[in-house]
Amino acid sequence: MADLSRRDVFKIAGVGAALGALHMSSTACATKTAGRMLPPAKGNRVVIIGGGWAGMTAAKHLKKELGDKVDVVLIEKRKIFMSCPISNVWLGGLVDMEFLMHDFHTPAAKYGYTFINATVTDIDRDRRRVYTTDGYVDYDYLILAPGIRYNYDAWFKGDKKMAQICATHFPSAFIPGSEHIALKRKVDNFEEGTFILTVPPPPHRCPPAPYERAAMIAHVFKKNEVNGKLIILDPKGQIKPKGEGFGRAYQELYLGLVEYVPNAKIKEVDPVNKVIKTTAGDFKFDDANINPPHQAGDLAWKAGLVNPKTGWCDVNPLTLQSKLDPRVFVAGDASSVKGFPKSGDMAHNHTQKMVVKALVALLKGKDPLEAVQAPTNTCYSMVNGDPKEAIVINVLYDIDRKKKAPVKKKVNVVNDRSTQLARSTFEWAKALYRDMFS
Amino acid sequence: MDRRNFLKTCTAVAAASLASPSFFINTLKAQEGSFKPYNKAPLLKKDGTPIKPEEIDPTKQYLFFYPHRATPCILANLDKEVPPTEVKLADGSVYKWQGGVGPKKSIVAYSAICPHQLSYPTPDYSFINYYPQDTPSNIVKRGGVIQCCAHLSVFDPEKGGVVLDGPAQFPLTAIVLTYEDGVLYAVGTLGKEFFEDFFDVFKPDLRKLYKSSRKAKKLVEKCEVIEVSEYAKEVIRC
Amino acid sequence: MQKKSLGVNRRELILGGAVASAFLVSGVVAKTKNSLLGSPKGNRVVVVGGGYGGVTAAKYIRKENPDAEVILVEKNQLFVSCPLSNHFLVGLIDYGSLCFPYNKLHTKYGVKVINDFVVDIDIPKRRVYLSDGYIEYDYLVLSPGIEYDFENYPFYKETAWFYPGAFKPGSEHLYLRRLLEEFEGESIVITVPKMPYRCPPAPYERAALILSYIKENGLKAHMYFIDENEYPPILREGFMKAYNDFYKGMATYLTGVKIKDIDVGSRKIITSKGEVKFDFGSIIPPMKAPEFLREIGLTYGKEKWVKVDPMTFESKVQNVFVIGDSCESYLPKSGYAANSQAKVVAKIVASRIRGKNYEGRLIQHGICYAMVNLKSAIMVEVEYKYDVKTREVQKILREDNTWKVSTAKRYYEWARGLWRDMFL
Repeated sequence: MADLSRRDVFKIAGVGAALGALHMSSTACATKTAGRMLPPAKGNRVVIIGGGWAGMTAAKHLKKELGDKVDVVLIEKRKIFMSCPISNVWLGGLVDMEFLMHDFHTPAAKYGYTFINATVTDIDRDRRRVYTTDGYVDYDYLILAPGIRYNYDAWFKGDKKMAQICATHFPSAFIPGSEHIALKRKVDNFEEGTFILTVPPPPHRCPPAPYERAAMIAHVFKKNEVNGKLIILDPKGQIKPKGEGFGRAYQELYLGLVEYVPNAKIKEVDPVNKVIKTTAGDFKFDDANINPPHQAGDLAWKAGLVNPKTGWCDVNPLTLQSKLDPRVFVAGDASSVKGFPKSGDMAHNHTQKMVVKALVALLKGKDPLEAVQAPTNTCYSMVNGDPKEAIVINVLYDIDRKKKAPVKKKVNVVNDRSTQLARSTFEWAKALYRDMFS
Repeated sequence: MDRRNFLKTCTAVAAASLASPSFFINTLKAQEGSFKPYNKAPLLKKDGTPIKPEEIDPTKQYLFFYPHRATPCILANLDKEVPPTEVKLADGSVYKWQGGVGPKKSIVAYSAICPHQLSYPTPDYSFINYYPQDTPSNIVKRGGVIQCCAHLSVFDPEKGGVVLDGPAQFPLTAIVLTYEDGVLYAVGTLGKEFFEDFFDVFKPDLRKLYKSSRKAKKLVEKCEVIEVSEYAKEVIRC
Repeated sequence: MQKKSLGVNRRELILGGAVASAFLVSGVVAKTKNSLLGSPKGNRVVVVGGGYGGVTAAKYIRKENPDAEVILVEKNQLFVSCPLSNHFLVGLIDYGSLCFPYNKLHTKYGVKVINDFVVDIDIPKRRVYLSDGYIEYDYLVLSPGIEYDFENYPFYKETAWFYPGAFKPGSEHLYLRRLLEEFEGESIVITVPKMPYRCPPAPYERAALILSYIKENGLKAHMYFIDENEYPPILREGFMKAYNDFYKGMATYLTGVKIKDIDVGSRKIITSKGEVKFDFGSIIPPMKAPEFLREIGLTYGKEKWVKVDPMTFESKVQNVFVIGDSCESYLPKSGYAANSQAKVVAKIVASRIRGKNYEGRLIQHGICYAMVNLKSAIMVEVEYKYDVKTREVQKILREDNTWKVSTAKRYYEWARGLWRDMFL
């Protein structure tokens, strides 16, 4: 088989003349993308914004319950789903990234909802219209599941440059994607000195996550024989939840490697000089995972549904309908329901058992309050990587029909870490991924 | 500097360098930023005795680590006198390369980190290699070149490591050798270095091999010369 | 998808499954009058698109001229590589190895990375509008990649959802991988649009890899490989020999075929040479430069790609450069080519910021590797050396059609080198 190898020499003509005049008009851009994306629905149309744990659950279960009687449109800006739950386990090197990644095609094709891969640019609640980069779509009901956003402003007071330095040099990785990979590289590359992890003030996404992350980082440090320590700066007075389980893991597995500092409310972060000033003293660091406070995601603010005092959306605690607009359900972390932690599992459960049930009842002309079912929430935390060992908390809720609110019925905590619970962690995740993506 | 003048200076430098190794180094130092001295490290055989220039087989490719413990270098005997030359960079700056050393002035050494995208010989593969005269490159159809098989940058070891072909924008970093009393020494580098990027991007890999970046960065005081095939499981040529 | 449809309303999906993502959204989003970064001082470069071209341009402009103020605008926060994604499809690599974060562009090279979409570009006023304001620029580098051409070929729109072309990284690749893993049917189809499209050898490599996968897994499937081109436009000899040597009887290669229509419901492709039924496939739509380039006046009429000076990538507007797959250039459309083109533009822009014209040599370099089975690869190299003063171009083309395992190893190193160059 002859290999081809060729040399040519030629000359190119001047390009300016050949190309001709620029055809340009300042109004040329307006029309094409501005149009309506979908024809009006025959029946009711539910638009879901956000393809995370809540949004994926809502789209599937609405179609499962109502089939062709409802027109479901899911809008998500990302090209691929990456799970935040289990991402700490990935950070610890215990699973491949593929374990976290899922495609949007399979469930949309299987359950027959419309998936739109576009960015929502605005929400007009008066016209019940959602604008996206691909055009607009009208809704009868809206499920808003925008997740969280970081509130760096709480520290940097509008100094965008500092906020960007903090975010890129010490990414938080509580919103999945790029930040996680950057953080993993930091952890894997860390060789010596002080690594700080700050716990965001409550309420924040996934309450046990910072403690699990600390354990997983410690696991990597231990494996890599890092000469240094991990300092956890916690604004709270103690580790919560699963405090005993985490505390014992730090003591028994990572003694001398992990230092836990309670009551360390952050007063100032200086990402340039690498200093964090807290109510428990000032801490210098060599590298860090700095986690700013959380609040409801951007689109909740754009929709005007956030209570500016709390940073979260006030909702009916049973149906998760916005208190400001009953046509809008706020599912997942962006809403604030007493007793509900912000987590993937909680989002999945309250969406399936409360949001979807209530909406289905509404569409059928029944009482939504009667339709909702009590959710549960299960949070596993991996605390050891060799062998893989986890702890767990499980909360059962009841619906108090008089108070019209969910109440905690039972809390089960297993603080004794075990390999069985580690296996359960993976099975828990796989089952949820199956539910949402296949 | 016009060409004639340059040649004169080079000859003078070469002659002087043979007489007094320190002279050449001092001359190089005067070139802004190009020569960087490191430990003066003798090139040794596995048994710890100095490798003699005539023991460097022109049909083979050798490897040693310099100036850091983890930075590999290619050592080659080009089997002819290699005169000094000037190396011109894309930005117009110029530096002098000292040519071959040893009794036949035929021994040269270059950092084996590709200036294009930093491929380097690992215990698994060696993608960047010297092609002796009897092992011609399929890209430029001749031997006597150093070539990286990831993106096909080809360098000229006779001309200070300049780019002959391919996408590299900088020449190979030359390793400055001296020959004193029958012993070959590495004394520093010449040209743009890529060590900082190298240690940054390969941190996890280097840690696996050397335990820590600090250990990988340690400056060597002597260099063991081995054949590349003794280091890399697979020597990939193209 | 070959098994169940569960009452999917196809029409609905056609409309809703908009895989195309418009860049420009003026008219939808109000253009704000808020200037985000103030007036530029002659050194501001805005790079639009954080793929192979954009990332490399942003980094290298800063490297060539540290006085440049470089802003990269990219709507996705995670980079996923299209090169090597065929490896992922057949399980040779993990998805994670294709993913990279943008943060080092900021922390190491001082590029300001903005994770936002472009609302509009006002070329006369030299402004790029984002969702919350505009940025004025002195130099603009556009590297927006490709868009599937559903406008001229609407029947591809529906198929794109069910049998993805997977020429844009993301969900499509994961889905295609999943379909392949679950495949139990009898016939697989791969279609190739007429040149030019992104990464010329990729469909041929994908066909070879899927055939190799079928063989390896002992599946009883036949492939219909429908090519609108006469032959592989690149590495023809190597691909043809590989198809003959490895996959004889496993596949039907139909060349020079015009695809007229695709019926997703009955899984039928109607071509100029008859109909082909299939159970599963990767139907690769024709491609074009993103529509917004037309809207801002850089393409017009029937042009599918932006015309630029083929050696400097400057568009018809001074100081506006278009690189990567969107432009019409000598190099084949590929990530590697975009990386190489970006370095050319970086040199020119860095010089102009200094008030000088770049007068050195400009080299464009393209390398495409392609797997012919799960273990071996072939490769092609093309190089254009351009003398700015004489405008003389020297072209070198080298094909290595002899497949080797070592070439496959070089393929990995080729990709890793690129990723190092861009992200580390």
